[in-house]
Amino acid sequence: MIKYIAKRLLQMIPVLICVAILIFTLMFFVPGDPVQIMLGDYTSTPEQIAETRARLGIDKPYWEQLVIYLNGIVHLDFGESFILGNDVGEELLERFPRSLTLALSSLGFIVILGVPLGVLCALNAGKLLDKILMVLTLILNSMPTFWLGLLMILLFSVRLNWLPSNGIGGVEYYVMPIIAASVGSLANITRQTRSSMLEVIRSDYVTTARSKGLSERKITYGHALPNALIPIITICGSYFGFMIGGTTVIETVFSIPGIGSYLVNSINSRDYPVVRGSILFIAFSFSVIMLVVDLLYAFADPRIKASYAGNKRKKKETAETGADEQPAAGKEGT
Amino acid sequence: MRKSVSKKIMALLLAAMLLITLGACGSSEEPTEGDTQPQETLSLGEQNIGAEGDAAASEQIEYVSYALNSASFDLKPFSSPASGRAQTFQYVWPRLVYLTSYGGSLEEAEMWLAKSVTRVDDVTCDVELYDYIYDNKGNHITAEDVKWSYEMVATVGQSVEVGNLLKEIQILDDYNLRFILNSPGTGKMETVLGFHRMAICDKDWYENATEEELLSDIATAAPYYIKEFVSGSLVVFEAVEDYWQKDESLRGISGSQNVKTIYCPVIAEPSVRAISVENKEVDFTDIQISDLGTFYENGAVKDGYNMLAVGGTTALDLFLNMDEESGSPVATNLKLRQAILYAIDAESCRIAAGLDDSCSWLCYDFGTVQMAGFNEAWKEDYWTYDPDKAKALLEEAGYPDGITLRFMYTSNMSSGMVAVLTENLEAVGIHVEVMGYDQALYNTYKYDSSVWDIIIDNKGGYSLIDNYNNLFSPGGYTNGGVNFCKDQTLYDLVDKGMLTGAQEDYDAIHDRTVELAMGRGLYASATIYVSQDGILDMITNHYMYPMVNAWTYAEDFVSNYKIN
Repeated sequence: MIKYIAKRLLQMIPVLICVAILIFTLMFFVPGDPVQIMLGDYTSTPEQIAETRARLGIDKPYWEQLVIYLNGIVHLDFGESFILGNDVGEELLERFPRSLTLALSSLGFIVILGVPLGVLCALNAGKLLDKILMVLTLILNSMPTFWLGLLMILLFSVRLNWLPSNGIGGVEYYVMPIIAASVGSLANITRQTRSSMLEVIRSDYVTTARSKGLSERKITYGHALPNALIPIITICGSYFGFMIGGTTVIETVFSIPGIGSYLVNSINSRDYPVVRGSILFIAFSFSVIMLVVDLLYAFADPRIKASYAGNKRKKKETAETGADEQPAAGKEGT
Repeated sequence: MRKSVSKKIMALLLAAMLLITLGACGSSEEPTEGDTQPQETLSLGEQNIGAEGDAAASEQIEYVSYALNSASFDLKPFSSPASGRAQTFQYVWPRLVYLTSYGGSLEEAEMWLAKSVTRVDDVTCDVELYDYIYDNKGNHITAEDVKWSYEMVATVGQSVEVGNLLKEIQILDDYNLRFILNSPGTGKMETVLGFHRMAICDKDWYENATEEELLSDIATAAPYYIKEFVSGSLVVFEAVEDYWQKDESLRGISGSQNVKTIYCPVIAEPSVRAISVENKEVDFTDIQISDLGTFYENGAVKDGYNMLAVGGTTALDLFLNMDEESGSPVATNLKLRQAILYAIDAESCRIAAGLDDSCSWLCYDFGTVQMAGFNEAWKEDYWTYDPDKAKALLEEAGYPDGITLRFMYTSNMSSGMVAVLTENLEAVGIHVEVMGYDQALYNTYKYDSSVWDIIIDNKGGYSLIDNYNNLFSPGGYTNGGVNFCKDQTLYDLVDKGMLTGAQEDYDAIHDRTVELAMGRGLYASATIYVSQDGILDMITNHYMYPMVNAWTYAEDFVSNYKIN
């Protein structure tokens, strides 16, 4: 397993380098001049514009800029913001906990609520409860996050005065953002769990378990659910990765200074170091999350865990199996 | 049977959800006409005090909160201009003089770090500093720091306009300086000495300060320092306890410390800012016109609020491409340009943008009607909407079957206004290729005469002549003025107007722009500030940003802002 993790971590390096080169190239060729934005309209002379370009290092040719950029990345130096002049890496680290808090809490919310709801729907497939929940999830899934966020503010902040409408602080500040960010995905998870469970509970081994006289609860949570988890974990992983950098709307509505809003502001102002640093940071976070997701597969499905085992162990197991069994059986097994 | 019951339950459930959803919207009161349509004019600069007769607090109040609209900024002394920075810069960084009004002269200005300012000639001004200026960390501010700060703001602070105006700053002694401009001009010395992005600080402190200190532990000679800075979220300003200017009579607006702590949370979403005031989570913010009905109805501010409308610094202008080498048909055809300008109904554009007389003004020049130098006579005949005349001119221009032109704007401009403007042009036979770009792209393309024929842009200046100079002076552009106009007569008129500041010269510039049919002003809108009850007097600086430190608060004013 450790070898697998190490291998995956090493695989992340070329992925991140590719992302770095891609985003650098895109930003290099995208029209829009950061210097014009910084210096304003009518106040800057061509000489001043050229001087500022030179100071920012964007007057150099593509390859030279790329090499400087990659060299910085290797040294974990994401550069300084063109607009604010501060260290991009430090700013990302300051904002990351807020995005992470939002993403983790939302993930927890959708898993805790979405999975049991999905199971409930599957167990009551075709019945009234299932239909109600499916319609509900459809409605939730159709709600634009922005609209829902504002609506929640109007209801819970303005009307009822229960929760603060914006900002960061205690738990109460995160309640509405988490719910607003989660409802769409909650619906997805509920539907995915229902679909996976329906597939599993019709399997032969579930029928066998039932015929053996096991309780429905044990069959559902002990046998069916673990086998239905793989697609749910996949969705959760993707959702979590998306939440790290993709909650711009939620961050804007609820005034949470996270990575998403930082990225969007910087795209608008063509703040190249911030855009590149943020994208790379999000790519790294996403890669790590996907690694964790793959590891979770192993816990959910022993067959996958077995496939993670190193060659040495496999050989050892094969040798042990070969000593006990007939060689022909081993061949059959393969 | 069972199916029918389940359908009924489903229908009931959906109806209930719809009701809950709708219930969250709207006001708690019965809707009135005034909620959406303000009835009377919200006078510019006039304050609508919610609680008249309240006694003013004689002591410094504990704290107040002011929601900022921009997340992307810092308050280091020399940094790129940004909206959030402009809104709060005046609390923590001092300048030589404080200009009390938009377009105000140096003679009306309030002294800040300067003890006195003496005009020597058209381009020269002597400034004497107080000899007892110390920042909150005990550093002594002298003439050398002032000169160095000006150099820094022009270079590191990217405020190149100051650098462009100044020829030289001479240090006469420790507390006396001489400012020499590159050329004479109305408002130029005011811009330099009262520059709103100016930060004067101690050179040694700055050069030895860490990044952290520059961000949140500053040494400043302003009445407030930064107590806390959470990037993109919150700035907290605290009054300097031992402020260097002990003489209360010399403090004025810039040196006031009427509140001990100013909390500035960042709320980028405009509707949430309005909700925050309505919900009493913040004491004060700027709102959009779409939220005006929440605080204002039937020509009066609703109980519990105070309101201030300020404006006049910028106008939405339409420019036509005047670069004859660009290949644009507009540049070489006066009749075509006139046809375009007569085809546009500025009033409809304004209404389509959601603005009315309560908070906006039509323009009769490239500047606003509030700008010093505006002539009321210009209102009489300024591209009066006349589609028939536009059609006739189009025919005279050689396009009886119409023409297709490229119209560029930024995607954050009102889509309603763009739709009406496009429709106006289409109605007379001018087909429009609409090009809405994001700000960065727009800022790049607007300097390229081969990209557009018609453009709309927000433009402004310290005064009418300053605005003309910004728009049409060739110095600031690589290819003529704002619309590549290379008319020597116009250049000369602007130069003359800058020198004399005379009304007849402004009239001449105005007439020349009309004669050339190079574009037109459309409309200008106000910035509306709204506050909780208990704020008796709201003051803004010359760039319309609030001076919360100098406001008058009611004796019983208590902020509801929740401190984390």
